[in-house]
Amino acid sequence: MSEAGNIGEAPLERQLSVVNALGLHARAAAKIAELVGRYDCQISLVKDDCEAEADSVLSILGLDAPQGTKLVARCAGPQAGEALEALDGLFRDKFGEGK
Amino acid sequence: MSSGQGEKILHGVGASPGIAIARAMPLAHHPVQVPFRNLAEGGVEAEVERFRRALAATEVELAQAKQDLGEGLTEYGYIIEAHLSILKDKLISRRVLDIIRERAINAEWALSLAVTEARGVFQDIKDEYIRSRFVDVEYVTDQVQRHLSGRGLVDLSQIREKVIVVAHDLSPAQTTRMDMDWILGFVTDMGGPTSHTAIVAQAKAIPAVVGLENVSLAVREGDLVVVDGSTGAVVINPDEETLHAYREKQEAYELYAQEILAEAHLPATTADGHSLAVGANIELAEEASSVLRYGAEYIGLYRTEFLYISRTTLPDEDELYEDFKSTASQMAGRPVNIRTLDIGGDKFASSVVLAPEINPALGLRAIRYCLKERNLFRAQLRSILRASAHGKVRVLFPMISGVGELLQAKAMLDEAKNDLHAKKVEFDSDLQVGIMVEVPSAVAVADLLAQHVDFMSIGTNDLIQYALAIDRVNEHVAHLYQPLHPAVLRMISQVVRAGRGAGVKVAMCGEMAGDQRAVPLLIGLGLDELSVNAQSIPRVKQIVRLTDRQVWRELAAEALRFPTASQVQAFIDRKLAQHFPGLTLPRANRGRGVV
Repeated sequence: MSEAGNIGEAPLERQLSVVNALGLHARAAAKIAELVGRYDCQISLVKDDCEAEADSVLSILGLDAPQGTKLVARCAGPQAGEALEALDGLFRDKFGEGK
Repeated sequence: MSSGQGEKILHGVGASPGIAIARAMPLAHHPVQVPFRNLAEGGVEAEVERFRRALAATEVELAQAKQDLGEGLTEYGYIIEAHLSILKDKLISRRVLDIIRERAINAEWALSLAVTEARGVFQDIKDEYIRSRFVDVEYVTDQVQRHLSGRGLVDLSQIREKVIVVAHDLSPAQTTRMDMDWILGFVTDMGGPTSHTAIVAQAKAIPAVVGLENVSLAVREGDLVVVDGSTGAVVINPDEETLHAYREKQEAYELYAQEILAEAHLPATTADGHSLAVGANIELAEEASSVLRYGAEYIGLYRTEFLYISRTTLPDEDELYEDFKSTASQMAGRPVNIRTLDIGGDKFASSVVLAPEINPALGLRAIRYCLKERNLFRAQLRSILRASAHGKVRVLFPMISGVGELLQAKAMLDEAKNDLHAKKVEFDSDLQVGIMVEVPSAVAVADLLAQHVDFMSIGTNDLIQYALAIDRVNEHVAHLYQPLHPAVLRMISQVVRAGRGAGVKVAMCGEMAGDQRAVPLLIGLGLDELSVNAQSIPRVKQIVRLTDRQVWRELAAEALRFPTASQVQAFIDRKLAQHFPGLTLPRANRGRGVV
């Protein structure tokens, strides 16, 4: 596994908004976890003082994030940039729920 | 009474009638005891491997269960998918490995620690639906525990012996995986007459008793259990005498059920020539064909919530239309009352987001929710209208509390009609509109409401809950849920009179309409239509045919004079036993009287 990337650098951050009508319910959480699993990086989702590991459905559900919630995604690892880009797209696409 | 030493009798709520006698199959909700062991030096990797094997075995089982889902149950595939993702979740799987390695303890103990941690994460979730889904985490981890303990499969789809399922509570995920051919009855600690277990049991015509509080502790695997779904009695390890009495009662019940089914297709007409329409309540379009076998003359209540439950996206207008159209076509011109969405209260759909409420039964639910979520409501109204081109479809608005709300709902219906008309989409321009009368305020203004509708249907489950202030799923007050309470009877009578005054038919579509003791009273009170679960139709029709309507009218007039529910009940039981001993036959053998 690559030890390079931005180890030692500050993790990348990105603001995300939950815009889909259903919020981060089980299926949306499953999509996030599945996407994150494809990249070589660690992502956490932060809401106020709660932090969830983005590759765990249960952890994401624990965020309790209905529509309108603002989150910060914090990402470290070789593919951090790409992963954040993809994650951003998934949120904007409303997890394919169309609402 | 009984002199048996081992015999034990418990009383709960009879949720589905009939008698079942078989060995108990208890479903342990939690493993009885999780063993603790410190691992021997160097034993960590072997333990890790043992845990991985248990995970893999659980995964194979879940995947198999998903494959085995029959027609019509594919929706539940989503629940199993959720179970699979929980199984693979790092909060469970990786966390257990970490604990085993860090603390050198056995997998069972590590798993129970991980579950406790996950429970902590869930505890603070505000969304009640998500929070309640922790039962899925428990279900999945129980399966892993079972594999770890090396116990054989207690998977209910694999039962090959007739059993009575004993559980603390049953979830939809569990009941859909049961092979009903082998399950003769259900008994549970939790639940009321309208709980999930009750609905499944009624749909499958399997006797069930719920709300027993601690039956799951009282019964051991292999105990002989008698379930009397008509009286709510459960006998554990009955002695010879009791067993014999119940076998006779069972035979009598089955004979009776066959006899009345043979006449179910005939109309329900009293001896003096007054007909009552007897219809069915359904929850799925697929039920339409089976309700016809039981003699349903129409569908008095199509509950549309199941179209929204167990999914994360809303059904769109076309999907709803196809479903309603299929129901209407199967009923071939017989009326189908489609109730618009009744979400909220005790019914939650995963595709509908509801804010947590302290008092959901009094909150944003049913028509109130629909008038707020206009797009969702519009899709329902348009799909119902479009389906009305394929049969006799009628729309039924739930939870109407006054005229203002009704007019708002009707205005939206008119809007949908105008829109469809402009687009030249076919629909029945005379589509009949009805309301559920289930809020006490609607009873008080029933005469005003009647002027704006084509029919009214009394929903007793909610009306009783609201009128008596009893939460029907709360096992501590469930016994105060009294359909024969004088207040309830007066309300029914008032609605019937309001309907008469406006020339509007009055139906009843709650559980009460299928209760054999209540039916004579309901005929006497003057209801025009009764809609019940399909299995009850033959019995209801048979009661209607017993005698003249006038006899029931006198019975009702007299019943209205008693001050308490138990007096009303005793009076009716006495009258029926006197004049129609055959009517109470399934219960008469034991001479139990009022239960």
